[in-house]
Amino acid sequence: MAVQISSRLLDGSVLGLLSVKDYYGYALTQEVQKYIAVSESTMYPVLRRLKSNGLVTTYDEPYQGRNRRYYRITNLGLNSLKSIDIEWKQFKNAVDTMLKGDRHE
Amino acid sequence: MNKYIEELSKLLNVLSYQDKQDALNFYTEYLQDGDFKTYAECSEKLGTPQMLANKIIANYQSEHGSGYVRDKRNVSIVLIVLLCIIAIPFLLTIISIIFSIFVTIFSVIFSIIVTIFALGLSAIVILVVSFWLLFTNFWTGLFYLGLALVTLGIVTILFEPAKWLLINLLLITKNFCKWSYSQITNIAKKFF
Repeated sequence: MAVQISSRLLDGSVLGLLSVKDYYGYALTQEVQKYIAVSESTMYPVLRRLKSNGLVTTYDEPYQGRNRRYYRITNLGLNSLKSIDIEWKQFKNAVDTMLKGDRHE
Repeated sequence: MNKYIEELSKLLNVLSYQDKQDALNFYTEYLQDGDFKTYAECSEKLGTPQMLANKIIANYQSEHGSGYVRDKRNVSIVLIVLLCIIAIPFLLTIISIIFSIFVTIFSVIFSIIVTIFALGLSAIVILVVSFWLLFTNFWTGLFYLGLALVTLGIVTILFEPAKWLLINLLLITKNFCKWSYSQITNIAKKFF
């Protein structure tokens, strides 16, 4: 697919998934890959960026003698999700209008 | 998988310890959760360790600017220490030259001021003597009186410029010391 997701939209998508439930890295990557083609090495920078901006927090849970790091959305993350959602809808409508070619001039 | 992470770990040495550990933890967990056991499986999923490391490091660099990467800093610290050791003789020479220039300027101005003071003092002495001479040998007395007054006049004329010179010299020295101190601390801050 030639259309690529921007990093802001990817942030939004990850926040959207995390607003439903907490994920650990691998599961989150799998979940994102259900919908769009992202490479496996894309998710780490995204999660790190979200964390350093305070949009998600992490906590460790033991799993089979090791730790799994879970990601949880913060209130700041929820707010960010809302604004990305609005931006995306405006952008989507604008592109839709152009693609359909039924502009009223 | 261990070999893959080991290689990745080596390649991530340019990052700070914390950043490196975060990345390694994430990918170790990732490979365990994905049940990727062999080196080939790992490389197929994440790319070769080199590719993955490049991507992780590039991501840090784009955020922090190229100055971030720590290894470069370590190298530059070693270079600076070497440079310092080599530079010490030169530095000492430069410092002593600057110091001697200051000492010279100071001593010249100091001698000028001392001369002015000496002139003033001798003028006062001659003035007093000439008053006494006026009564014993009038013309000689008058000569000395005139001499003393002329000298006092010269001293008064020279006093202001000399004062100005001294004050400015002190100010310049003060500012120069301040400036060099801030330069040194700036350089020190940059590297340590």
